[in-house]
Amino acid sequence: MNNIGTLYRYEIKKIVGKKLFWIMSALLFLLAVFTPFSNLVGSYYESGEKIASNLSFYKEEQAGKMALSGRALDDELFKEAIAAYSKVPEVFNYSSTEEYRKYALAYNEIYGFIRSSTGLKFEDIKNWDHDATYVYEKRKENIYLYLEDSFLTDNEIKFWKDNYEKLDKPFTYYYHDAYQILLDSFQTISIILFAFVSIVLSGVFANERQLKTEPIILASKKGKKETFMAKILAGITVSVSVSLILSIILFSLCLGYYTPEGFDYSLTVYFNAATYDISIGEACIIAYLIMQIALVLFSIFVMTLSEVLKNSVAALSVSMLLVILGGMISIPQSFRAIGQIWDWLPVSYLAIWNMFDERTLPIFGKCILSWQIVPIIYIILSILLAFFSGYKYKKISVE
Amino acid sequence: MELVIDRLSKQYGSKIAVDRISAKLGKGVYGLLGANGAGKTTLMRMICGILKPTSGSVSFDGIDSEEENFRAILGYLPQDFGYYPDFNAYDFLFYLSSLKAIPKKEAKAKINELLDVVGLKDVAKKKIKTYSGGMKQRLGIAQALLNDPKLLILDEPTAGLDPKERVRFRNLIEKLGKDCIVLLSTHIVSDIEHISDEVLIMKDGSFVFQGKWNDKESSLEDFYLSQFEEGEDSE
Amino acid sequence: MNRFERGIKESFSVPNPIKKEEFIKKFPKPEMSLSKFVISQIPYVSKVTWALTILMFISVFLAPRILGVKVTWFISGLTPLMALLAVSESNRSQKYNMAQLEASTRFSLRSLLLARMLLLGIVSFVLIIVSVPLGTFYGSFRVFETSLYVITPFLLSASIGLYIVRSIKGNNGFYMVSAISLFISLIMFMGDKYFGFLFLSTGVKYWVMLFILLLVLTIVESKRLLNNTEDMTWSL
Repeated sequence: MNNIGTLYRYEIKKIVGKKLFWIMSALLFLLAVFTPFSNLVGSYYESGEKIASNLSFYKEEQAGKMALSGRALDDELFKEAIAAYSKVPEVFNYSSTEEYRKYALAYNEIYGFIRSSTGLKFEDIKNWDHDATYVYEKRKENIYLYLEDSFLTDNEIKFWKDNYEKLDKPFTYYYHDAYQILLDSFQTISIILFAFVSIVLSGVFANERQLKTEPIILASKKGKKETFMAKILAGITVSVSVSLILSIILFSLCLGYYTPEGFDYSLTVYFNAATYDISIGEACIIAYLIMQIALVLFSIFVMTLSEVLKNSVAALSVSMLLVILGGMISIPQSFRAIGQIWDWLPVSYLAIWNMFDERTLPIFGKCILSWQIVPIIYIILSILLAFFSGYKYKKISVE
Repeated sequence: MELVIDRLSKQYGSKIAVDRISAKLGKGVYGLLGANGAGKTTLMRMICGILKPTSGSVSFDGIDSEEENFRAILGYLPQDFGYYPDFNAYDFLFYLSSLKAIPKKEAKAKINELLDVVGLKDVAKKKIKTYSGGMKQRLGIAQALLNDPKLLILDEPTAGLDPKERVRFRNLIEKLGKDCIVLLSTHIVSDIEHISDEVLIMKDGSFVFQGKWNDKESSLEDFYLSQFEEGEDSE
Repeated sequence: MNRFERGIKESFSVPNPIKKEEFIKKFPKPEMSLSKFVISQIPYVSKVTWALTILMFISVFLAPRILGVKVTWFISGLTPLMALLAVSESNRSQKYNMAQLEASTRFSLRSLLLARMLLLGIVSFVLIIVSVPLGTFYGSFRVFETSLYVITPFLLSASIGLYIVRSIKGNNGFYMVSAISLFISLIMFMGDKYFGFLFLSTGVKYWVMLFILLLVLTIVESKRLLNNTEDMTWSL
């Protein structure tokens, strides 16, 4: 056991001893520190004229939203929002007018809710004479239409409709910027993390061949099984540790600056398609936890490539190409099976619209949500891939 | 203590690198001589169990070369080995000690002893990338001896060593050969001339000579060259 | 050859040449100009490099049909890879330990490096010249912005790559260059989706500053690499 511990520590030393590890870590750290505040930097311009700094703009908006936080999205709030927007002049760039900042800015998310539910356009606001019942009915109608057009099974459609019925209405509005930023930046952070893993772990096995240390290692007593385990564990440790530190920094900065308020904000208000009882705070925790599991699988995959291809640049190229393709390619929903498989790959899955979408996995007639089943699939795949990789390593030959 | 090589072969496509070699080696020093491309390195890699043979087997006291217990008694110095540039000699030897399942305390003592033997104690804390070729080779020899091997396979161990270092090395091997099986390959005949108990001469993947040579009749070099002439005559 | 010629050839034996070497030495040795030397290096550029370059050109022409308005991001993601090919080709002498042999030839290592950099530099320039109008026509930016977004990543990858291959010898250096170029490509490929804040109109002035800085750095690093050929022949 002592030997495996020593081997494990040396494998970690080999990974973190490289300059590239520290360069990429520094970039990740900068990204984590910059991301929560990227919208606050600079100024807002209209036709080349500076209107206000983004920070001052945001402070006004934040104050307004916090004042509305905790109120039900009901008749009273809708009427207030409509009245506020009615005071804004009907011009093309209405959001840069003084009236917008003074009256409507705080209500922009309320207006957004009404608009996404009913399709209400800004120019029709003054003629609005509907109530909250109408808004919720239209919302339900649109969601149901969306479900029926999403190439879901009948079972799935019934499942989502039943879920929607169970949700407590009217919804409650909360100021939730911390969680919104965490979810908005989720995919960017994930992609950079995957790139980091590709760069840092592509040489774990291949370098031994390139550095010509392989013969000595393989000829040693613990040069096969124990060395393999040490390498895999070291790779996983490095990638998950960096990811956890990054996530902690991000959460701390977002919750610290924007406040933890809004944890209970219903996810379905933020993301229409997620018609089940889960809050935005819970969604953040789920998303970032699944990211760790996805990273474990991806780390093992990259290290397996490193072992099979025996060339660090080749392993790097293949894994980076997958990351790029995962981010660029999206398969239409009409191709249900292929589309679902592609969207559930680690390189594509770490996006809110995939993680909380309406496609499920039917098991014994029950619809299992993707964020419930995908982590289990990833864990199983990680174990299988590790076994495959270990088997290949056991048969390794210095040709 | 016996190393048994039973009809060991290695084929790459149509090229036969090692052709049905059989041998039984007991305690002592065995010198493996042969021209470039004769198959010495391929043979040594198969003996170490790091290269899969096309056919045949290798065992040490009944333990097959693929088993972990075989590697436990093995010390191997490859012909052209690498290192981790940021490691120093201590790091490198500690790392290899853990690969050889040597407990930390024992490893520390052994490493200090070996660094002394190979003359690297003064530079042990410097990074390997700053070492000269000869220093790296001496480090390689040190790692091969970490686990007090019963079977020591050395592929061109004196490459990069100056004459004085080569004499020290020869004396070390001679001493080791009393307690274990040492198989060393070299181009420098003088390396094994006075220390090898038996000579194995390899040509085109097979042994053309295996046995003791009589130093009273001729020098080993002449003897080695004559084997090739005999080989040519018989052709 | 007709039968008379054949007959004469069979009947008469050719006398052995006298003072053949002396006679041949009298001829002036054929000289090769620098431009001919550069052209002669074309077949010695790795086949994989040429294949990948051709693939890039094909991708650039096909991209507008498949990607539409997103073609700008695609092209700006390709150019760092072109820079990677150019830098790795410049590093071949060191990578394959040929530097010492090449340094001792008439057209020394410096000229050889210059030839390789010129060849791949010209190819990169052609790729950029072809890409910018395509990117502008099918994309959503003006010519000036498209040029910036296409050329700047190329220069970033080239300048960093040239610095690394000069400072870090062996496979480690090549791996670092590959990793950094691929990372820059990733950022550009994903530009519209995840890094939109980098491409706002308010940021163009920063891109111009970065472009100028990187252009200077690339030239400086290229010169340093050419002047540093002695280092390549030194081995531990």
